[in-house]
Amino acid sequence: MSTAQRAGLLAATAAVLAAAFVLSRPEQPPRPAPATQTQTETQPETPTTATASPRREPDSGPLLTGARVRTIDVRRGEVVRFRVRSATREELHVHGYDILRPLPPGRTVAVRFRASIEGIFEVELHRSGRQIGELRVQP
Amino acid sequence: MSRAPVLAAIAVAVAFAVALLSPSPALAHGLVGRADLPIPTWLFGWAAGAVLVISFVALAALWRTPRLEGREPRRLVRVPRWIDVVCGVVGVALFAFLVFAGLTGAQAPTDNIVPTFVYVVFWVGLVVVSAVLGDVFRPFNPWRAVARGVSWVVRRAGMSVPPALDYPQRLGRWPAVAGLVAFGWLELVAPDGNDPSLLATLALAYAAVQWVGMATFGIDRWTDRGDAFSVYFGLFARIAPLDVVDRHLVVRRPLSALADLRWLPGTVALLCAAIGITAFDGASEGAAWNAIAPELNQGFRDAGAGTAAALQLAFSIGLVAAIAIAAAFYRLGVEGMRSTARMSAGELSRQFVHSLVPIALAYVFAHYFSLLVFQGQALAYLVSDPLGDGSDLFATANSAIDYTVVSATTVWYVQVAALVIGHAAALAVAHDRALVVFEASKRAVRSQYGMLVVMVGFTSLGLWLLSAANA
Repeated sequence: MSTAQRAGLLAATAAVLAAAFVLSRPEQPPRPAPATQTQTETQPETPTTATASPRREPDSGPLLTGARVRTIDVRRGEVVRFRVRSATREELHVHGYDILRPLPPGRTVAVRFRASIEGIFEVELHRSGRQIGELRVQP
Repeated sequence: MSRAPVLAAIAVAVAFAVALLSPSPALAHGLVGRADLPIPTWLFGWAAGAVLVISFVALAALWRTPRLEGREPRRLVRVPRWIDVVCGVVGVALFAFLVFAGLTGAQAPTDNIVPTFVYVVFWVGLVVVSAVLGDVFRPFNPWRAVARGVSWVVRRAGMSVPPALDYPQRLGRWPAVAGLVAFGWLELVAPDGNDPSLLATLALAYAAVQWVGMATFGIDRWTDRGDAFSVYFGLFARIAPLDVVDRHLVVRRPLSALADLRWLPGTVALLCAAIGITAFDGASEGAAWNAIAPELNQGFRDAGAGTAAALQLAFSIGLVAAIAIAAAFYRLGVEGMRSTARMSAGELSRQFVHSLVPIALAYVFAHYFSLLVFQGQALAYLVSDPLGDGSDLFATANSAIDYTVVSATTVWYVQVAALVIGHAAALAVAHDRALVVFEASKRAVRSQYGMLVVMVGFTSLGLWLLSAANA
């Protein structure tokens, strides 16, 4: 194989790989409206209970108690909503976003913020260091 | 069994014993505030396809005469001796300061400069810098600088020094393998691997071991073979187009110095350890490992181990298994080559071990790129407040890590590009060696089918570790 042929083959390979890359890359789907946040666990909440008890609105998000690590999946730009309850005096810490909230014992605290940073972040109780949630922000 | 593996086994046993005695069970990487999103399926598919296409094109289109072997680097300028002295002083001062900071500063890993310096700047940053600028660790190496200083003073004073012992041939690079595995264990398995005072103490202990080695076998002999970090960074420096040879700054074809990597006992283990440690760091965050680990953990607890010890034993086994998998992959490719080569497996494995260096670099870069970019920013506030005592030396103590400088998509592309380019580089290096070993180029190409299996295997494993398939 001559040098020219070799260069041609390499150029063709590069072109094929580039074309395959462009073709296989998905179109960015339009961002859903901020209200439709996707959650791995859907809450058993109906509009009737929501109106009956204003504290449990459907979009206040999952309740994190630390019984297990809950995954919260959102896309960048959406609003993250969840609630936290701890039996003891604690502090909520969302890594990366560095959100800190005091948690009085036994009280449910609602948290909401815009997901501006992509990646996977721990949601933990700061004092005990226990992880209660995992926030996954997709691009 | 020769003596070197016995020594390594003893080192591992001691490490296990220390682990069993230490209490806390926390294993999380305290430094990382953000983890990477797994590579999406489409990109995984594209990269796997690209790896195959590149491999076959390479077999058809690669050169017919060696291009990397036996090349003389071109000398640029002479490096004056005082630069060596200045670098040595800087290295020793930095080392002394970090030990001081670790022992006396705040003990929360993110408040003290030591963990970030050790695991980000030193362990990862120096690999990347070495692969571009050559062996920069050598002049700054604090252990070597101190030893050279002492040796200079002793010679000046006219004292007689007992001659260095001959470095045992069979020891080869095994001390460096032991050091590397021990460091990997500290980073990935040890419960307090982020603890500043522990890191400082271990750094002092490590320095002491180096000085004993240097005093026994000679400064340069020990540094080139026994000091885990000199050996580790020196491997990647062979990829770089720049280096210092015989007190001269030289330029050379990238990758060409890999061909001069002399095989010594332990070299294959060294490369397998380097790849295995990084692979296990990726795997330990993935689903596959997290399905196995609780079983292992429970098994050890049933056998009577405490909570913390069981967890560490499980992770130790994971680390050792990752290194063993890397070694098995390489052995498989060597066996594949034997069919055309009519050479012993040992000889072939020595001849081609340097082609694993680009793979090891690709693993480090793909796995730690985001750590470098994000945790690297922590240096801005850590240099202003290295001890975590509230000082603000450079008025940057209140800066924070900006997690938006690089998007998740960019991280994916960089990771995939690193693995694919590393794959191509490894193929080129192995092909070049095959041309020398097998002379007839047809036979050289055929012999490479075996190595191709290794490279494709390593690259696919690397991709899988980063992908949603393992999330």
